[in-house]
Amino acid sequence: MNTGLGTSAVALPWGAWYSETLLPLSLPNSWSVEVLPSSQHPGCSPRQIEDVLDAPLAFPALDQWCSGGDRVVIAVDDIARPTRAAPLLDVLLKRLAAHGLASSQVSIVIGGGTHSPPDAVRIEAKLGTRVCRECRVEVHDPHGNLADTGLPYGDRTLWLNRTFLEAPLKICLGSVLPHPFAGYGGGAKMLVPGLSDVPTTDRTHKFVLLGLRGGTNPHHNRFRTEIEQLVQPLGPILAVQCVPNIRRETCAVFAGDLVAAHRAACEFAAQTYATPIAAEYDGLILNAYPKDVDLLQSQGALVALKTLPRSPLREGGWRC
Amino acid sequence: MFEHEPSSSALEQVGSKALIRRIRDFLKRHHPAQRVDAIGEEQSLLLAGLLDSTLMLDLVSYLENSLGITIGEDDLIPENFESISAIHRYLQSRGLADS
Repeated sequence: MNTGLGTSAVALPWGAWYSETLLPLSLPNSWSVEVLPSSQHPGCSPRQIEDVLDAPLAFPALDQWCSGGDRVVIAVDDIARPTRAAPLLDVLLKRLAAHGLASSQVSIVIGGGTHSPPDAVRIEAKLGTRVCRECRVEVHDPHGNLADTGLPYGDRTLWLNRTFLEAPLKICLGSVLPHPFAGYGGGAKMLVPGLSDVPTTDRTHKFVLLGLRGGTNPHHNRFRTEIEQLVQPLGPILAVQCVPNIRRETCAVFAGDLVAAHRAACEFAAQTYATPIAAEYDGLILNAYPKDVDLLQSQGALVALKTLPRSPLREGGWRC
Repeated sequence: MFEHEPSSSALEQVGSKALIRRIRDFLKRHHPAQRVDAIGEEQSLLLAGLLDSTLMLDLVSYLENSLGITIGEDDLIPENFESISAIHRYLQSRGLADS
């Protein structure tokens, strides 16, 4: 019997952090299939990353900033995000060392809000062997090692990871990707809810569940602008914001003020992730990669549909 | 089709019991009455599955139209809408419900 099924040439990137493979799809031969790929930008070289770190946006020069303390804490996003932090950290540690801050003075906090903590294998995959060997590494615990910022948030105050809060020099390093509620991930969101306690995370997610705030434009997304204002009294935080390509390589990196670097990354992300769609389709298969480590994150695949000016689906079309 | 209540009481104080009844009546238009009756005034409407982002829009619209008020974005925070009591307290703070 001819089922109409054939081995298609279509293969989708699949299994960030775990398998990093291509998922072949078997689609009916009668279908005309188009693949609309994500960013094909080449990855940044270490030199390019170094140049960005040496000219931070709306932020003091790195040497001047480094002289402000003897301990650095770098908050890094967790494996729910595709950031290949190791190559970025290698360059960052090199630049910090050049300004008098050795790896032994650097702590890393993996901030995943209330996400499940990663195991040792995933931590090393995220941070790299060198960082795990030379720096103190901590996984943020939303139930413990917290400190009160004294900053009002809702009907209580904001509690953040103590290691991060008490560090004289603070860095946030993570990806900026389209996000179903925050417009784009990264930036101040790495602190709230990334390094927050459970009640804070709970409140941020209630905004989502009630559909309050939100929006695709980071300049007008009140959820984002409110958390940016909230953490502003914590003092200067050096943001290292990267935009990953389809291979999860960092294809652009921006460093500087928490808001300025984030916005610059958002602008780049908006361009590089924009996928021209000329036709209307009967069906869409949306790939969640590189945020496909769990079902919750995979909803990010639907962001594209929210941001399109018009539906790419014909009347009665389907998506999966 | 949902219809707003007459706005004859607009900008007038509404008794607390009447206001709570209105909120419950609103919820009953979208959920089985038994479920709405079973929820305590301090219980989370979110956790009970009685309020979500879509219904939130309707609730705000209902309160604005039936009470003749405008609810600004600054007031659209979980603390004001998470439970029947929270909504009541918020409306009290706006001078729309007796204490």
